[in-house]
Amino acid sequence: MTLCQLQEQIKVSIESKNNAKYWIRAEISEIKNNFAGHCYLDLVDRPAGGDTVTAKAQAIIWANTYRLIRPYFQTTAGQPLTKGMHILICVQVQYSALYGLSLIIMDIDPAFTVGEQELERQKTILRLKSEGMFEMNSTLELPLLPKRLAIISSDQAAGYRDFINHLHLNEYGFKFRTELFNAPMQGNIAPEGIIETMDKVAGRSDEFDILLILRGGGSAQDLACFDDYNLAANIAQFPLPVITGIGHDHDYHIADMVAHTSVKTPTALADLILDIFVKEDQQIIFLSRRLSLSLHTRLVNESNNLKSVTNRLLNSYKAGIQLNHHKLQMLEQRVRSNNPLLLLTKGYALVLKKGIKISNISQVEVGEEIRLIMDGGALSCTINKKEDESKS
Amino acid sequence: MKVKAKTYQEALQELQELVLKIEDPTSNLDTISHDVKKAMELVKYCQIQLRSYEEDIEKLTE
Repeated sequence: MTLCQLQEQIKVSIESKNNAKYWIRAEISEIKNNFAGHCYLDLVDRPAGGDTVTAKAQAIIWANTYRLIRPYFQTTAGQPLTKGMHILICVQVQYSALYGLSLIIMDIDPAFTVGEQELERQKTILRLKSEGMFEMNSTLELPLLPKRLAIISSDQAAGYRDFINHLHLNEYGFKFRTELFNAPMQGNIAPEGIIETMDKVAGRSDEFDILLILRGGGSAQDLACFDDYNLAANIAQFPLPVITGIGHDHDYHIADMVAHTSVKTPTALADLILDIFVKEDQQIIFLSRRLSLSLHTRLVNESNNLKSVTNRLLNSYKAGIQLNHHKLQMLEQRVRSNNPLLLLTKGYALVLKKGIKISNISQVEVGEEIRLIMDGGALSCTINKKEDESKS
Repeated sequence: MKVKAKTYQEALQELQELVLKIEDPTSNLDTISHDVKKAMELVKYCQIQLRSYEEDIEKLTE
């Protein structure tokens, strides 16, 4: 028997017993496209995600099938077939005398891969939570005025330029110091590259207020690196608050979840920072308005107070004068009514003895001289007779 | 000796206290003009803080 005959016997034996189509789950450990358009893969089984490979087989997607499968998979799963990916495939067993056992891939179910990746994401999230890292960065306090910004991005990225323009050309005249730390922002090398760059920033952390990680949008494949556990763990434990602006509306990654704050786009990130300054600016304007208003109120009040004090003073002065005026009148009245000369005009006379006014008959004796003063002049008189009424 | 520049936060707090003092009708009128002048300086200082780099502020206060 020749080798060829033996191989033929094995081929018949294997193919006759395994002639159906089988749906199997496996991990891609190698993938290569050849010049003819065929795709060669190494498939492995690693139970429970460990490192031990318990099964291995080579697989082929023939060019005519691959032409259909490739775009279908990429559109549905959001990324092309890559190493490390878990796939669900429909295969036929083939044995070749020259190449040994191969699995011919007839069909693929992208939904399985999407589900697997989502599962992987959830596992990463749970792990970060159980390790207490999920909320860690968000407990850092954002500086009141974050002016010194470390930025991890790529200077080639449109997102970075959008951010820089939007931030520096702001209409309010706020100034910021930005420093770019270049890092690969997509693909498998991104997590490691970003972490290395983060270490550089961390070494100069006293020179910065916050770290920004930003890039414009990209395909799900481009951005898958932002679901990486190591990257997320590094963001969580970073000494400065980390703000992410990765991708567009529909993209929300684990890196965003563990960051202090995350926004949808680099432009939104610039707005977020500008808003902090606008808020402060408005507060100062508000305070300065309160200042001038209260100053105005104080001055008006004080001037009113002064007026009222002046009025009171004037009034009491006037009242005092009136009172005095009245008193004077009374006095005048009294003086007037008591003026003896006034009595003289009414026919009364004043009696003087030796120049002293007397008012009682007992003060004079018969023969004594008295003076009678009456209206118009005085009379000198001698008393001839006394009629003392008290004695009669 | 170079005095460390007042931080924005310190200036803002001082400004808030001054405004409250000026608003208080029982506060002393004798010092009000001094207080207002100081408050206006703080307003300007805070606005500059928002619009300049750290180095500029240090230069200003040297």
